Amino acid sequence: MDRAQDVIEIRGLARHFGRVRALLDVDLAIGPGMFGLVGPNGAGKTTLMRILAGLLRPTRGSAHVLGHDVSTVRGKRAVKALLGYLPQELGLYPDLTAREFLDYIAILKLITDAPARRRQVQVLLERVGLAEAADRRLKTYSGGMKRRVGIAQALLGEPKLLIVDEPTAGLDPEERVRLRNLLAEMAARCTVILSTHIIEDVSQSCSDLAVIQGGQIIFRGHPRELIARARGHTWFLTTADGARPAAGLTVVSTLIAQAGTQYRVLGTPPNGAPVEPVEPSLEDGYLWLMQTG
Amino acid sequence: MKALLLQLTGIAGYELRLQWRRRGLVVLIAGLVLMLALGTLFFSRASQRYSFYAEGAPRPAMNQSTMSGSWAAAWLILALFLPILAAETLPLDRQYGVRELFDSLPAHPGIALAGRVLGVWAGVLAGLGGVALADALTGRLAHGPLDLGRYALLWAGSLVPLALYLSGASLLLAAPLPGRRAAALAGVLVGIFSFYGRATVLSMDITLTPSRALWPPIYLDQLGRLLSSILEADYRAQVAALGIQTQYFGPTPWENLQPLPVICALGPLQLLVPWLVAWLWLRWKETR
Repeated sequence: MDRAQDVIEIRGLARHFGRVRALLDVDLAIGPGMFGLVGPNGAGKTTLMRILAGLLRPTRGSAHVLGHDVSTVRGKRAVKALLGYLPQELGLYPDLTAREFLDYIAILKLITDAPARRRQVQVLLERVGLAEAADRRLKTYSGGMKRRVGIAQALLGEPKLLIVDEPTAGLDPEERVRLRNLLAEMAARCTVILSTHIIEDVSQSCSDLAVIQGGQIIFRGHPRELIARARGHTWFLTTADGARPAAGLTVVSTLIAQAGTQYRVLGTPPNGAPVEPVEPSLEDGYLWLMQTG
Repeated sequence: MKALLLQLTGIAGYELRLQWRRRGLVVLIAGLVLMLALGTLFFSRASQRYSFYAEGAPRPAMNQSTMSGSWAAAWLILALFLPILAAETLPLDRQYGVRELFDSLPAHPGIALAGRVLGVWAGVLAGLGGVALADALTGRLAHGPLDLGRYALLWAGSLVPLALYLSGASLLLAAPLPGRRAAALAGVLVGIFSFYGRATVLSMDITLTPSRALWPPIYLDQLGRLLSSILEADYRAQVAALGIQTQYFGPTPWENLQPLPVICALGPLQLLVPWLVAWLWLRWKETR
Protein backbone atom coordinates (compact mmCIF):
# COMPACT_ATOMS: atom_id res chain seq x y z
CA MET A 1 0.00 0.00 0.00
CA ASP A 2 1.21 3.49 -0.81
CA ARG A 3 1.83 5.07 2.60
CA ALA A 4 1.83 8.57 1.07
CA GLN A 5 -1.93 8.17 0.75
CA ASP A 6 -2.46 7.31 4.38
CA VAL A 7 -5.59 8.82 5.81
CA ILE A 8 -4.58 8.02 9.36
CA GLU A 9 -1.12 7.83 10.82
CA ILE A 10 -0.65 6.71 14.41
CA ARG A 11 2.72 6.61 16.15
CA GLY A 12 3.48 5.38 19.66
CA LEU A 13 -0.07 6.06 20.75
CA ALA A 14 -0.93 5.29 24.37
CA ARG A 15 -3.93 6.06 26.52
CA HIS A 16 -4.15 5.36 30.23
CA PHE A 17 -7.19 5.65 32.46
CA GLY A 18 -5.60 5.83 35.88
CA ARG A 19 -3.86 2.49 36.30
CA VAL A 20 -5.67 0.93 33.36
CA ARG A 21 -3.62 0.99 30.19
CA ALA A 22 -6.15 0.92 27.40
CA LEU A 23 -3.66 1.48 24.57
CA LEU A 24 0.06 0.69 24.56
CA ASP A 25 2.35 2.22 21.95
CA VAL A 26 0.13 1.64 18.96
CA ASP A 27 1.66 2.26 15.52
CA LEU A 28 -0.73 2.09 12.62
CA ALA A 29 -1.17 3.60 9.17
CA ILE A 30 -4.50 3.36 7.44
CA GLY A 31 -5.10 4.14 3.79
CA PRO A 32 -8.25 4.70 1.74
CA GLY A 33 -10.97 2.03 1.54
CA MET A 34 -12.49 -0.06 4.28
CA PHE A 35 -10.36 -0.95 7.24
CA GLY A 36 -11.36 -3.44 9.90
CA LEU A 37 -10.25 -3.19 13.51
CA VAL A 38 -10.96 -6.44 15.27
CA GLY A 39 -10.44 -7.54 18.84
CA PRO A 40 -12.16 -8.96 21.88
CA ASN A 41 -14.20 -6.83 24.25
CA GLY A 42 -11.96 -4.54 26.29
CA ALA A 43 -9.08 -4.77 23.80
CA GLY A 44 -8.91 -0.99 23.29
CA LYS A 45 -10.89 -0.65 20.05
CA THR A 46 -13.31 1.96 21.31
CA THR A 47 -10.55 3.96 22.98
CA LEU A 48 -8.67 4.07 19.68
CA MET A 49 -11.84 5.05 17.78
CA ARG A 50 -12.58 7.81 20.28
CA ILE A 51 -9.08 9.23 19.97
CA LEU A 52 -9.35 9.23 16.17
CA ALA A 53 -12.74 10.96 16.40
CA GLY A 54 -11.24 13.72 18.54
CA LEU A 55 -13.20 12.73 21.63
CA LEU A 56 -10.27 11.64 23.73
CA ARG A 57 -6.76 12.94 24.09
CA PRO A 58 -3.91 10.43 23.93
CA THR A 59 -1.72 10.09 26.99
CA ARG A 60 1.32 9.69 24.76
CA GLY A 61 2.17 9.51 21.08
CA SER A 62 0.50 11.10 18.10
CA ALA A 63 -2.40 10.46 15.77
CA HIS A 64 -2.87 12.37 12.55
CA VAL A 65 -6.22 12.06 10.83
CA LEU A 66 -6.46 13.49 7.32
CA GLY A 67 -3.35 15.48 8.16
CA HIS A 68 -4.67 16.93 11.43
CA ASP A 69 -3.17 16.22 14.84
CA VAL A 70 -6.04 15.08 17.05
CA SER A 71 -4.17 15.85 20.25
CA THR A 72 -4.68 19.60 19.69
CA VAL A 73 -7.96 21.50 20.00
CA ARG A 74 -7.55 22.95 16.51
CA GLY A 75 -6.79 19.52 15.06
CA LYS A 76 -9.80 17.98 16.77
CA ARG A 77 -12.10 20.63 15.36
CA ALA A 78 -10.67 20.17 11.87
CA VAL A 79 -11.13 16.40 12.05
CA LYS A 80 -14.70 16.69 13.31
CA ALA A 81 -15.57 18.76 10.24
CA LEU A 82 -14.48 15.89 7.98
CA LEU A 83 -15.76 13.01 10.04
CA GLY A 84 -18.81 10.79 10.21
CA TYR A 85 -18.94 8.92 13.50
CA LEU A 86 -21.20 6.18 14.77
CA PRO A 87 -20.43 5.54 18.44
CA GLN A 88 -20.72 2.11 19.97
CA GLU A 89 -23.61 3.11 22.20
CA LEU A 90 -25.66 5.49 20.16
CA GLY A 91 -28.80 6.89 21.71
CA LEU A 92 -31.38 8.98 19.95
CA TYR A 93 -33.91 11.51 21.16
CA PRO A 94 -37.03 9.35 21.53
CA ASP A 95 -39.36 12.30 21.04
CA LEU A 96 -38.01 13.30 17.63
CA THR A 97 -38.78 11.59 14.34
CA ALA A 98 -35.93 10.16 12.26
CA ARG A 99 -36.29 13.03 9.79
CA GLU A 100 -36.14 15.61 12.57
CA PHE A 101 -33.17 13.93 14.25
CA LEU A 102 -31.18 13.83 11.01
CA ASP A 103 -32.11 17.42 10.29
CA TYR A 104 -30.90 18.41 13.76
CA ILE A 105 -27.58 16.61 13.26
CA ALA A 106 -27.23 18.23 9.83
CA ILE A 107 -27.62 21.64 11.48
CA LEU A 108 -24.92 20.72 13.98
CA LYS A 109 -22.74 19.71 11.02
CA LEU A 110 -23.17 23.25 9.72
CA ILE A 111 -25.37 22.30 6.78
CA THR A 112 -27.37 25.48 7.16
CA ASP A 113 -28.99 25.72 3.73
CA ALA A 114 -32.44 24.38 4.60
CA PRO A 115 -33.56 23.04 1.16
CA ALA A 116 -30.19 21.33 0.60
CA ARG A 117 -30.36 19.88 4.08
CA ARG A 118 -33.83 18.49 3.58
CA ARG A 119 -32.80 16.93 0.27
CA GLN A 120 -29.75 15.30 1.81
CA VAL A 121 -31.77 13.95 4.72
CA GLN A 122 -34.35 12.49 2.32
CA VAL A 123 -31.65 10.85 0.18
CA LEU A 124 -30.04 9.26 3.25
CA LEU A 125 -33.37 8.09 4.64
CA GLU A 126 -33.98 6.33 1.34
CA ARG A 127 -30.48 4.88 1.27
CA VAL A 128 -30.85 3.31 4.71
CA GLY A 129 -34.38 2.15 3.93
CA LEU A 130 -36.21 4.37 6.40
CA ALA A 131 -38.05 6.71 4.05
CA GLU A 132 -41.44 5.25 4.90
CA ALA A 133 -40.87 5.38 8.66
CA ALA A 134 -39.12 8.76 8.57
CA ASP A 135 -41.92 10.65 10.28
CA ARG A 136 -42.40 8.21 13.13
CA ARG A 137 -41.00 9.07 16.54
CA LEU A 138 -37.72 7.29 17.25
CA LYS A 139 -39.09 5.67 20.39
CA THR A 140 -41.15 3.43 18.11
CA TYR A 141 -38.07 2.17 16.20
CA SER A 142 -36.48 -1.25 16.55
CA GLY A 143 -32.78 -1.65 17.41
CA GLY A 144 -31.89 -2.22 13.77
CA MET A 145 -33.80 0.82 12.59
CA LYS A 146 -32.06 2.97 15.20
CA ARG A 147 -28.71 1.67 13.99
CA ARG A 148 -29.67 2.67 10.46
CA VAL A 149 -30.53 6.16 11.69
CA GLY A 150 -27.08 6.16 13.29
CA ILE A 151 -25.45 5.27 9.97
CA ALA A 152 -27.50 7.92 8.17
CA GLN A 153 -26.41 10.64 10.58
CA ALA A 154 -22.78 9.59 10.14
CA LEU A 155 -23.12 9.97 6.37
CA LEU A 156 -24.55 13.49 6.59
CA GLY A 157 -22.29 16.12 5.08
CA GLU A 158 -20.46 13.58 2.91
CA PRO A 159 -17.61 12.86 5.34
CA LYS A 160 -14.11 12.01 4.14
CA LEU A 161 -13.69 9.55 7.00
CA LEU A 162 -16.32 7.30 8.51
CA ILE A 163 -15.67 5.69 11.89
CA VAL A 164 -18.18 3.07 12.94
CA ASP A 165 -17.79 1.36 16.28
CA GLU A 166 -19.51 -2.03 16.62
CA PRO A 167 -22.27 -1.13 14.18
CA THR A 168 -23.79 -4.60 13.95
CA ALA A 169 -23.79 -5.58 17.62
CA GLY A 170 -27.18 -6.88 18.64
CA LEU A 171 -28.67 -6.83 15.15
CA ASP A 172 -30.45 -9.70 13.42
CA PRO A 173 -28.74 -11.27 10.37
CA GLU A 174 -30.81 -9.39 7.83
CA GLU A 175 -30.00 -6.02 9.42
CA ARG A 176 -26.33 -6.95 9.69
CA VAL A 177 -26.11 -7.79 5.99
CA ARG A 178 -27.90 -4.56 5.11
CA LEU A 179 -25.49 -2.51 7.24
CA ARG A 180 -22.43 -4.27 5.89
CA ASN A 181 -23.51 -3.59 2.32
CA LEU A 182 -24.15 0.03 3.13
CA LEU A 183 -20.68 0.43 4.62
CA ALA A 184 -19.10 -1.32 1.66
CA GLU A 185 -20.87 1.13 -0.64
CA MET A 186 -19.54 4.00 1.41
CA ALA A 187 -15.99 2.67 1.26
CA ALA A 188 -16.00 3.50 -2.45
CA ARG A 189 -16.45 7.18 -1.57
CA CYS A 190 -14.53 7.64 1.66
CA THR A 191 -12.32 5.84 4.13
CA VAL A 192 -14.31 3.62 6.48
CA ILE A 193 -12.94 2.30 9.75
CA LEU A 194 -15.03 -0.54 11.06
CA SER A 195 -14.39 -1.57 14.62
CA THR A 196 -15.96 -4.84 15.63
CA HIS A 197 -15.58 -8.06 17.51
CA ILE A 198 -17.74 -9.87 14.94
CA ILE A 199 -15.28 -11.44 12.50
CA GLU A 200 -17.91 -12.09 9.87
CA ASP A 201 -18.43 -8.35 9.40
CA VAL A 202 -14.78 -7.87 8.51
CA SER A 203 -14.45 -10.98 6.38
CA GLN A 204 -17.26 -9.84 4.12
CA SER A 205 -16.14 -6.29 3.52
CA CYS A 206 -12.55 -5.40 4.50
CA SER A 207 -9.39 -5.85 2.49
CA ASP A 208 -7.19 -4.51 5.24
CA LEU A 209 -7.45 -5.21 8.94
CA ALA A 210 -5.71 -5.04 12.27
CA VAL A 211 -6.25 -7.18 15.34
CA ILE A 212 -5.91 -5.51 18.70
CA GLN A 213 -5.55 -7.23 22.03
CA GLY A 214 -4.64 -5.81 25.41
CA GLY A 215 -4.16 -2.38 23.89
CA GLN A 216 -1.61 -3.56 21.31
CA ILE A 217 -1.84 -4.32 17.61
CA ILE A 218 -0.96 -7.99 17.27
CA PHE A 219 -1.72 -8.41 13.57
CA ARG A 220 -1.86 -6.12 10.59
CA GLY A 221 -2.50 -7.21 7.03
CA HIS A 222 -4.92 -8.67 4.49
CA PRO A 223 -7.58 -11.10 5.76
CA ARG A 224 -5.95 -13.76 3.56
CA GLU A 225 -2.80 -13.50 5.66
CA LEU A 226 -4.74 -14.03 8.84
CA ILE A 227 -6.49 -17.02 7.32
CA ALA A 228 -3.14 -18.45 6.23
CA ARG A 229 -1.94 -18.46 9.83
CA ALA A 230 -4.53 -21.09 10.73
CA ARG A 231 -3.81 -23.28 7.70
CA GLY A 232 -2.62 -26.68 8.87
CA HIS A 233 -4.13 -26.10 12.30
CA THR A 234 -7.84 -26.36 11.48
CA TRP A 235 -9.59 -29.72 11.58
CA PHE A 236 -12.86 -31.56 11.61
CA LEU A 237 -12.90 -34.04 14.47
CA THR A 238 -15.76 -36.55 14.57
CA THR A 239 -16.55 -38.63 17.64
CA ALA A 240 -19.21 -41.34 17.69
CA ASP A 241 -19.82 -41.31 21.40
CA GLY A 242 -19.92 -37.55 21.82
CA ALA A 243 -16.62 -37.46 23.71
CA ARG A 244 -15.04 -34.00 23.95
CA PRO A 245 -11.89 -33.31 21.90
CA ALA A 246 -8.57 -33.65 23.65
CA ALA A 247 -7.27 -30.85 25.84
CA GLY A 248 -5.18 -28.41 23.82
CA LEU A 249 -7.65 -28.27 20.96
CA THR A 250 -9.86 -25.22 20.69
CA VAL A 251 -13.40 -26.01 19.66
CA VAL A 252 -14.64 -23.49 17.10
CA SER A 253 -17.99 -25.14 16.43
CA THR A 254 -19.96 -28.28 17.27
CA LEU A 255 -22.38 -30.11 14.98
CA ILE A 256 -24.41 -32.99 16.36
CA ALA A 257 -25.43 -35.43 13.59
CA GLN A 258 -26.68 -39.04 13.37
CA ALA A 259 -23.20 -40.34 12.61
CA GLY A 260 -21.78 -38.66 15.67
CA THR A 261 -20.62 -35.30 16.86
CA GLN A 262 -18.50 -33.26 14.50
CA TYR A 263 -16.20 -30.65 16.01
CA ARG A 264 -14.30 -27.95 14.16
CA VAL A 265 -11.12 -27.55 16.14
CA LEU A 266 -7.91 -25.56 16.12
CA GLY A 267 -4.59 -26.95 17.26
CA THR A 268 -2.47 -30.03 16.91
CA PRO A 269 -4.54 -33.20 17.36
CA PRO A 270 -2.99 -36.24 19.02
CA ASN A 271 -1.73 -39.04 16.80
CA GLY A 272 -4.49 -41.34 15.57
CA ALA A 273 -7.28 -38.89 16.31
CA PRO A 274 -10.14 -39.10 13.72
CA VAL A 275 -9.46 -35.73 12.12
CA GLU A 276 -9.50 -34.35 8.62
CA PRO A 277 -7.92 -31.03 7.58
CA VAL A 278 -10.21 -28.13 6.72
CA GLU A 279 -9.61 -24.88 4.85
CA PRO A 280 -9.68 -22.25 7.63
CA SER A 281 -11.98 -19.28 7.67
CA LEU A 282 -11.13 -15.77 8.88
CA GLU A 283 -12.71 -16.65 12.20
CA ASP A 284 -10.36 -19.62 12.50
CA GLY A 285 -7.41 -17.38 11.70
CA TYR A 286 -8.52 -14.85 14.30
CA LEU A 287 -9.03 -17.48 16.99
CA TRP A 288 -5.68 -19.08 16.16
CA LEU A 289 -4.02 -15.68 16.48
CA MET A 290 -5.71 -15.06 19.82
CA GLN A 291 -4.53 -18.46 21.01
CA THR A 292 -0.97 -18.21 19.80
CA GLY A 293 -0.43 -14.43 20.09
CA MET B 1 -21.44 34.59 10.51
CA LYS B 2 -24.77 34.02 8.82
CA ALA B 3 -24.16 30.28 8.88
CA LEU B 4 -23.45 30.38 12.62
CA LEU B 5 -26.61 32.38 13.21
CA LEU B 6 -28.62 29.86 11.21
CA GLN B 7 -27.02 27.07 13.20
CA LEU B 8 -27.84 28.83 16.46
CA THR B 9 -31.49 29.31 15.54
CA GLY B 10 -31.70 25.75 14.24
CA ILE B 11 -30.40 24.32 17.52
CA ALA B 12 -32.73 26.58 19.48
CA GLY B 13 -35.67 25.46 17.34
CA TYR B 14 -35.04 21.78 18.04
CA GLU B 15 -34.47 22.41 21.73
CA LEU B 16 -37.81 24.21 21.86
CA ARG B 17 -39.46 21.21 20.18
CA LEU B 18 -37.81 18.78 22.58
CA GLN B 19 -38.80 20.77 25.64
CA TRP B 20 -42.45 20.74 24.61
CA ARG B 21 -42.50 17.07 23.71
CA ARG B 22 -41.01 15.99 27.02
CA ARG B 23 -44.21 17.08 28.76
CA GLY B 24 -42.48 18.53 31.84
CA LEU B 25 -42.88 22.08 30.62
CA VAL B 26 -46.47 21.40 29.55
CA VAL B 27 -47.35 20.14 33.02
CA LEU B 28 -45.65 23.15 34.61
CA ILE B 29 -47.51 25.58 32.35
CA ALA B 30 -50.83 23.83 33.03
CA GLY B 31 -50.13 24.11 36.77
CA LEU B 32 -49.44 27.82 36.39
CA VAL B 33 -52.64 28.38 34.44
CA LEU B 34 -54.63 26.61 37.13
CA MET B 35 -52.88 28.42 39.96
CA LEU B 36 -53.37 31.83 38.42
CA ALA B 37 -57.00 31.13 37.55
CA LEU B 38 -57.76 30.09 41.12
CA GLY B 39 -55.84 33.07 42.47
CA THR B 40 -57.65 35.52 40.22
CA LEU B 41 -61.03 34.09 41.16
CA PHE B 42 -60.13 34.14 44.84
CA PHE B 43 -59.01 37.75 44.66
CA SER B 44 -62.14 38.59 42.78
CA ARG B 45 -64.29 37.43 45.68
CA ALA B 46 -61.98 38.93 48.28
CA SER B 47 -61.99 42.24 46.50
CA GLN B 48 -65.79 42.37 46.56
CA ARG B 49 -65.71 42.11 50.33
CA TYR B 50 -62.71 44.11 51.45
CA SER B 51 -61.01 46.22 48.87
CA PHE B 52 -61.46 49.64 47.50
CA TYR B 53 -62.32 48.22 44.11
CA ALA B 54 -65.95 48.61 44.94
CA GLU B 55 -65.40 52.30 45.57
CA GLY B 56 -65.26 52.97 41.88
CA ALA B 57 -61.66 52.55 40.77
CA PRO B 58 -61.55 52.20 37.00
CA ARG B 59 -61.19 48.61 35.83
CA PRO B 60 -57.99 49.09 33.82
CA ALA B 61 -56.23 50.35 36.94
CA MET B 62 -56.90 47.12 38.77
CA ASN B 63 -54.36 45.06 36.86
CA GLN B 64 -51.51 45.02 39.24
CA SER B 65 -53.41 44.76 42.49
CA THR B 66 -55.67 42.09 41.10
CA MET B 67 -52.94 39.98 39.63
CA SER B 68 -49.96 40.38 41.87
CA GLY B 69 -51.43 38.46 44.79
CA SER B 70 -51.78 35.23 42.84
CA TRP B 71 -48.49 35.86 41.10
CA ALA B 72 -46.62 35.20 44.31
CA ALA B 73 -47.95 31.65 44.14
CA ALA B 74 -47.10 31.45 40.43
CA TRP B 75 -43.61 32.60 41.19
CA LEU B 76 -43.31 29.90 43.84
CA ILE B 77 -44.27 27.21 41.31
CA LEU B 78 -41.79 28.58 38.81
CA ALA B 79 -38.99 28.79 41.35
CA LEU B 80 -39.59 25.24 42.56
CA PHE B 81 -40.01 23.39 39.28
CA LEU B 82 -38.65 25.38 36.34
CA PRO B 83 -34.97 25.26 37.42
CA ILE B 84 -35.18 21.49 37.84
CA LEU B 85 -36.73 21.06 34.40
CA ALA B 86 -34.16 23.30 32.72
CA ALA B 87 -31.21 21.84 34.64
CA GLU B 88 -31.97 18.40 33.19
CA THR B 89 -31.51 19.55 29.60
CA LEU B 90 -27.86 18.56 29.08
CA PRO B 91 -27.67 15.64 31.55
CA LEU B 92 -30.62 14.13 29.67
CA ASP B 93 -28.38 13.96 26.60
CA ARG B 94 -26.15 11.60 28.51
CA GLN B 95 -29.09 9.51 29.62
CA TYR B 96 -30.35 9.22 26.05
CA GLY B 97 -26.83 8.37 24.85
CA VAL B 98 -26.50 11.24 22.36
CA ARG B 99 -23.76 13.10 24.23
CA GLU B 100 -20.87 11.28 22.58
CA LEU B 101 -22.35 11.76 19.14
CA PHE B 102 -22.84 15.48 19.77
CA ASP B 103 -19.27 15.80 21.00
CA SER B 104 -18.05 14.31 17.71
CA LEU B 105 -19.84 16.95 15.63
CA PRO B 106 -18.16 20.09 14.33
CA ALA B 107 -20.58 22.55 15.96
CA HIS B 108 -18.69 25.00 18.17
CA PRO B 109 -19.50 23.99 21.76
CA GLY B 110 -20.26 27.58 22.73
CA ILE B 111 -22.74 27.97 19.87
CA ALA B 112 -24.36 24.63 20.68
CA LEU B 113 -24.76 25.58 24.35
CA ALA B 114 -26.11 29.02 23.53
CA GLY B 115 -28.60 27.41 21.15
CA ARG B 116 -29.79 25.09 23.89
CA VAL B 117 -30.27 28.01 26.29
CA LEU B 118 -32.16 29.99 23.65
CA GLY B 119 -34.33 26.98 22.90
CA VAL B 120 -35.25 26.55 26.55
CA TRP B 121 -35.95 30.26 26.81
CA ALA B 122 -38.14 30.11 23.72
CA GLY B 123 -40.06 27.21 25.26
CA VAL B 124 -40.49 29.06 28.53
CA LEU B 125 -41.57 32.24 26.76
CA ALA B 126 -44.08 30.39 24.63
CA GLY B 127 -45.44 28.69 27.73
CA LEU B 128 -45.66 31.88 29.72
CA GLY B 129 -47.33 33.55 26.74
CA GLY B 130 -50.02 30.89 26.97
CA VAL B 131 -50.31 31.38 30.71
CA ALA B 132 -50.59 35.16 30.25
CA LEU B 133 -53.33 34.69 27.70
CA ALA B 134 -55.27 32.28 29.91
CA ASP B 135 -54.78 34.56 32.90
CA ALA B 136 -55.98 37.58 30.95
CA LEU B 137 -59.12 35.70 29.95
CA THR B 138 -59.77 34.67 33.55
CA GLY B 139 -59.13 38.23 34.71
CA ARG B 140 -61.48 39.57 32.05
CA LEU B 141 -64.24 37.22 33.19
CA ALA B 142 -63.66 37.91 36.89
CA HIS B 143 -62.98 41.64 36.87
CA GLY B 144 -63.97 43.11 33.55
CA PRO B 145 -61.81 44.78 30.90
CA LEU B 146 -58.05 44.88 31.42
CA ASP B 147 -55.51 47.45 30.37
CA LEU B 148 -53.65 45.07 28.08
CA GLY B 149 -50.61 47.30 27.60
CA ARG B 150 -50.01 47.53 31.32
CA TYR B 151 -50.83 43.88 31.74
CA ALA B 152 -48.17 42.90 29.17
CA LEU B 153 -45.68 45.24 30.82
CA LEU B 154 -46.38 43.60 34.15
CA TRP B 155 -45.56 40.20 32.68
CA ALA B 156 -42.51 41.47 30.86
CA GLY B 157 -41.17 42.94 34.06
CA SER B 158 -41.79 40.24 36.60
CA LEU B 159 -42.52 36.56 35.87
CA VAL B 160 -40.88 36.54 32.44
CA PRO B 161 -37.40 37.77 33.45
CA LEU B 162 -37.54 35.66 36.57
CA ALA B 163 -38.38 32.56 34.49
CA LEU B 164 -35.60 33.35 32.02
CA TYR B 165 -33.10 33.70 34.83
CA LEU B 166 -34.23 30.54 36.59
CA SER B 167 -34.11 28.41 33.45
CA GLY B 168 -30.93 29.90 31.96
CA ALA B 169 -28.91 29.85 35.16
CA SER B 170 -29.91 26.33 36.13
CA LEU B 171 -29.23 24.92 32.64
CA LEU B 172 -25.77 26.49 32.54
CA LEU B 173 -24.82 25.58 36.09
CA ALA B 174 -25.97 22.00 35.58
CA ALA B 175 -24.20 21.63 32.20
CA PRO B 176 -21.01 20.10 33.64
CA LEU B 177 -22.83 17.76 36.01
CA PRO B 178 -22.73 14.05 35.29
CA GLY B 179 -26.33 13.00 35.93
CA ARG B 180 -29.91 14.09 36.27
CA ARG B 181 -29.92 13.82 40.04
CA ALA B 182 -27.02 16.23 40.46
CA ALA B 183 -28.59 18.52 37.88
CA ALA B 184 -31.89 18.52 39.74
CA LEU B 185 -30.03 19.47 42.90
CA ALA B 186 -28.40 22.39 41.08
CA GLY B 187 -31.87 23.43 39.91
CA VAL B 188 -33.20 23.31 43.46
CA LEU B 189 -30.32 25.52 44.61
CA VAL B 190 -31.04 28.07 41.89
CA GLY B 191 -34.69 28.03 42.95
CA ILE B 192 -33.80 28.54 46.61
CA PHE B 193 -31.44 31.35 45.63
CA SER B 194 -34.23 33.21 43.86
CA PHE B 195 -36.73 32.35 46.60
CA TYR B 196 -34.47 33.95 49.16
CA GLY B 197 -34.39 37.08 47.06
CA ARG B 198 -38.15 37.27 46.79
CA ALA B 199 -38.65 36.55 50.49
CA THR B 200 -36.43 39.51 51.27
CA VAL B 201 -38.55 41.71 49.04
CA LEU B 202 -41.85 40.54 50.50
CA SER B 203 -40.72 41.30 54.03
CA MET B 204 -39.68 44.77 52.81
CA ASP B 205 -36.28 44.17 54.31
CA ILE B 206 -34.48 46.27 51.77
CA THR B 207 -31.07 47.48 52.75
CA LEU B 208 -29.31 49.37 50.05
CA THR B 209 -25.70 48.34 50.36
CA PRO B 210 -23.36 47.20 47.60
CA SER B 211 -22.83 43.85 49.31
CA ARG B 212 -26.56 43.13 49.13
CA ALA B 213 -26.43 43.65 45.40
CA LEU B 214 -24.27 40.55 45.14
CA TRP B 215 -27.04 38.54 46.72
CA PRO B 216 -30.48 37.99 45.49
CA PRO B 217 -32.61 39.86 44.54
CA ILE B 218 -31.08 39.18 41.22
CA TYR B 219 -30.51 41.51 38.34
CA LEU B 220 -33.58 40.46 36.41
CA ASP B 221 -35.66 40.68 39.53
CA GLN B 222 -34.51 44.27 39.84
CA LEU B 223 -35.81 44.86 36.36
CA GLY B 224 -39.12 43.36 37.41
CA ARG B 225 -39.34 45.64 40.37
CA LEU B 226 -38.45 48.62 38.22
CA LEU B 227 -41.34 47.85 35.88
CA SER B 228 -43.64 47.09 38.79
CA SER B 229 -42.77 50.48 40.21
CA ILE B 230 -43.75 52.11 36.94
CA LEU B 231 -47.08 50.31 37.08
CA GLU B 232 -47.57 51.18 40.73
CA ALA B 233 -46.88 54.85 40.08
CA ASP B 234 -49.31 54.74 37.20
CA TYR B 235 -51.93 53.14 39.37
CA ARG B 236 -51.50 55.67 42.15
CA ALA B 237 -51.83 58.48 39.67
CA GLN B 238 -55.09 57.07 38.38
CA VAL B 239 -56.51 56.52 41.83
CA ALA B 240 -55.42 59.99 42.92
CA ALA B 241 -57.05 61.50 39.86
CA LEU B 242 -60.32 59.93 40.91
CA GLY B 243 -59.94 61.40 44.40
CA ILE B 244 -60.25 58.00 46.04
CA GLN B 245 -58.89 57.76 49.56
CA THR B 246 -57.27 54.44 50.36
CA GLN B 247 -55.16 53.11 53.16
CA TYR B 248 -53.63 50.31 51.13
CA PHE B 249 -50.63 52.12 49.73
CA GLY B 250 -47.35 51.25 51.35
CA PRO B 251 -44.00 52.97 51.02
CA THR B 252 -43.04 54.44 47.66
CA PRO B 253 -42.14 51.46 45.44
CA TRP B 254 -39.08 53.22 44.09
CA GLU B 255 -37.56 52.69 47.50
CA ASN B 256 -37.52 48.96 46.81
CA LEU B 257 -34.95 49.43 44.09
CA GLN B 258 -31.28 49.34 44.71
CA PRO B 259 -29.26 52.27 43.39
CA LEU B 260 -29.10 52.03 39.61
CA PRO B 261 -25.28 52.20 39.36
CA VAL B 262 -25.03 49.30 41.79
CA ILE B 263 -27.49 47.30 39.72
CA CYS B 264 -25.68 48.13 36.51
CA ALA B 265 -22.27 47.31 37.90
CA LEU B 266 -22.92 44.24 39.99
CA GLY B 267 -26.21 42.85 38.72
CA PRO B 268 -24.90 41.42 35.44
CA LEU B 269 -22.19 39.60 37.36
CA GLN B 270 -24.88 37.36 38.77
CA LEU B 271 -25.81 36.32 35.25
CA LEU B 272 -22.22 36.00 34.12
CA VAL B 273 -21.32 33.47 36.79
CA PRO B 274 -23.35 30.60 35.27
CA TRP B 275 -22.01 31.46 31.81
CA LEU B 276 -18.50 31.41 33.17
CA VAL B 277 -19.03 28.02 34.82
CA ALA B 278 -20.37 26.55 31.58
CA TRP B 279 -17.65 28.16 29.45
CA LEU B 280 -14.86 26.82 31.66
CA TRP B 281 -16.42 23.38 31.49
CA LEU B 282 -16.53 23.50 27.68
CA ARG B 283 -12.90 24.58 27.53
CA TRP B 284 -11.87 21.77 29.86
CA LYS B 285 -13.85 19.22 27.89
CA GLU B 286 -12.19 20.18 24.63
CA THR B 287 -8.68 19.82 25.99
CA ARG B 288 -9.06 16.65 28.01
